[in-house]
Amino acid sequence: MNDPTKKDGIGSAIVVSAPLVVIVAALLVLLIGPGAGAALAQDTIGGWDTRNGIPLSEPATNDSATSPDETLTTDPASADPSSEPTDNMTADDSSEDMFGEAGGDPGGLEGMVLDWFKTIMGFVYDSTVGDLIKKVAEALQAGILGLPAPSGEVASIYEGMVGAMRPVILVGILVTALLMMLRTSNYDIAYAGFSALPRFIGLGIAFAFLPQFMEILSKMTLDVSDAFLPSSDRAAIAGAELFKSAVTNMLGAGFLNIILAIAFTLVGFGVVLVAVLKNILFQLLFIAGPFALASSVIPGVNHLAASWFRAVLACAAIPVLWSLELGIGSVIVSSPEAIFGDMVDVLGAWSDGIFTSVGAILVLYVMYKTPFKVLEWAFESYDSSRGAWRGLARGVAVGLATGGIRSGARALAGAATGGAGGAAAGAASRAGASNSAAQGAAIGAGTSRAGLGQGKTIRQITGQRRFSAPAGETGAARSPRSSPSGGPQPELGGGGGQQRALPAASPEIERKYLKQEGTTPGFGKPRRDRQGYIKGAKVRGDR
Amino acid sequence: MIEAVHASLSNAPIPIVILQVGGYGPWGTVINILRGLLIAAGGLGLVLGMAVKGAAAGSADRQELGNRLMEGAIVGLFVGLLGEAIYNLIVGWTS
Repeated sequence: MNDPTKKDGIGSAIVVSAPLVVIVAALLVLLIGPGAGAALAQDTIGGWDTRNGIPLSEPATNDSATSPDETLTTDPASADPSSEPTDNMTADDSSEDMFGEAGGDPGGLEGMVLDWFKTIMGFVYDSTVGDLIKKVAEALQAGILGLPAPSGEVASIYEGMVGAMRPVILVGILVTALLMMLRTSNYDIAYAGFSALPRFIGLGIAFAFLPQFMEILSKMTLDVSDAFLPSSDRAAIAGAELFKSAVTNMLGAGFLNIILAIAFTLVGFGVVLVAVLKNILFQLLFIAGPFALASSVIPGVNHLAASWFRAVLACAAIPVLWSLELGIGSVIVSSPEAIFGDMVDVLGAWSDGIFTSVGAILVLYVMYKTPFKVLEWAFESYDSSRGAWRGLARGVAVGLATGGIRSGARALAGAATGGAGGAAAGAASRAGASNSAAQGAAIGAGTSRAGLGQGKTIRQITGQRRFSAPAGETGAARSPRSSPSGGPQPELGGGGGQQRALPAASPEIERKYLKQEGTTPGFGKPRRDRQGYIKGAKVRGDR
Repeated sequence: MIEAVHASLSNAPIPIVILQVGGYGPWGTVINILRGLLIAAGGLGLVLGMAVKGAAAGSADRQELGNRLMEGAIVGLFVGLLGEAIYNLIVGWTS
């Protein structure tokens, strides 16, 4: 498209249809020429650029009425001198127009029509792609690096939620009083009675000061992201430079640039979208705060409070991480040679500064993925890498496949040894001894997450495991599944016994131990029964 | 079910009726039931504790049982009734 013969081809075509062109041009010039030209130049090209400090096109080249001094009214901070290398690659340079054609007035009617053609195309560009880019840039500058403090209607909703959930404190205090009155010897109830009162007081304090906490968190997020982004004007510099350099570089020539422009626009909108979703999530978490805080004192659901708090922290961490990524992005677009070296212009005329553009796209893609990864940490079991339906289908398929294979293997083993029931009964009798060391280790290992932990358990149950136990010990509660393959751990006792191979366990044993493996994630007191198992294991191991 | 309990509490003897102050929203019924249980259990514990101690004579075990009953009743009543004041304090913080 940079071929200068293109211009000649258009000119010859116009000369061939000279009478028609003359009539049309005369009408345009006489009737709507001056007014429309001034309007287009003033309202579209250069106007927004000056306001936002992102000179996508040079006002002086499109608007003769604009004095050169007006370009100097742009904020000096946005006129980052580091952007100078990218200016050389922009399509709206003074020597080239946005279509990559050489400048210079050919003169006469041909030149006039060509100027009009370029003006109209510029207007079309600014009304479509330019407007799109402007909106994305404004969204970047509008504060994706911030975290809006809850206020107004959201605060009113929060007050209503607190009013609904606050009596939980009184319910809890009354239940605690009843428990203390019973003075039971049950460890769990006694523990709850002793530890509950401070928790209820803390819950009341949390209800009272959660709005202030959220406000402080928002301010801290702004301050930290401001400190991390290496610029005084934050997104106004980094975001603007990203869009200015990366996008205008793409508009020069080549099909590859069109693809890059589309990818850049898509990823940019993705970033804006997740930024909005992040703000919505933060407000939702604030409103749901009373429920989450109340769940922290209810046994069995207190892990919800932990997830809620991690999600709040994640909302605060996202802008901070974005500020870091935008800082890297601003370096990529302002001085790409610092990262890419001489590769920046490796494709030359095909794509000016392709590494700058690709780098900007990658930075935006990382920004797009960041919230999902942070929220994955917050909600733990939430996996952003695949959809819920896909995960469900995969789980069902894997479960069916492994179940079928296991059933087939068990049937074969039963046929070989004279019946699967006999084999399972033998496993139960041999494994059912009183090796509490193995049981304690099994419970310790059972604290892993459900999917992985159960998978391991199934393999451990059905696999050929070896364990050692004191000779002659046969009981009713030994677990065979979690003994280490090389025998039990020395500190858990039972070492030095004979090694025996275990056949596949029966479905009853599988169900029994899978049921025992149920865990309660989140905050909670240490379970005395687990400690008891471990302690008993140590005692038996010492014997 | 809840309506029936609430109706029976509304027709209950004077101490429970006096305790039925509103302002707890959906938790009002639960709070009323718990407070009734607390007061009833506290009173029963005190009476039983005194009776056991009175009948204990020289039995140290029975004396200990009576002590535990009365101690639990007093502690429970103390915490339960003090909880009302604590709750009012928290309401003052949040409103």
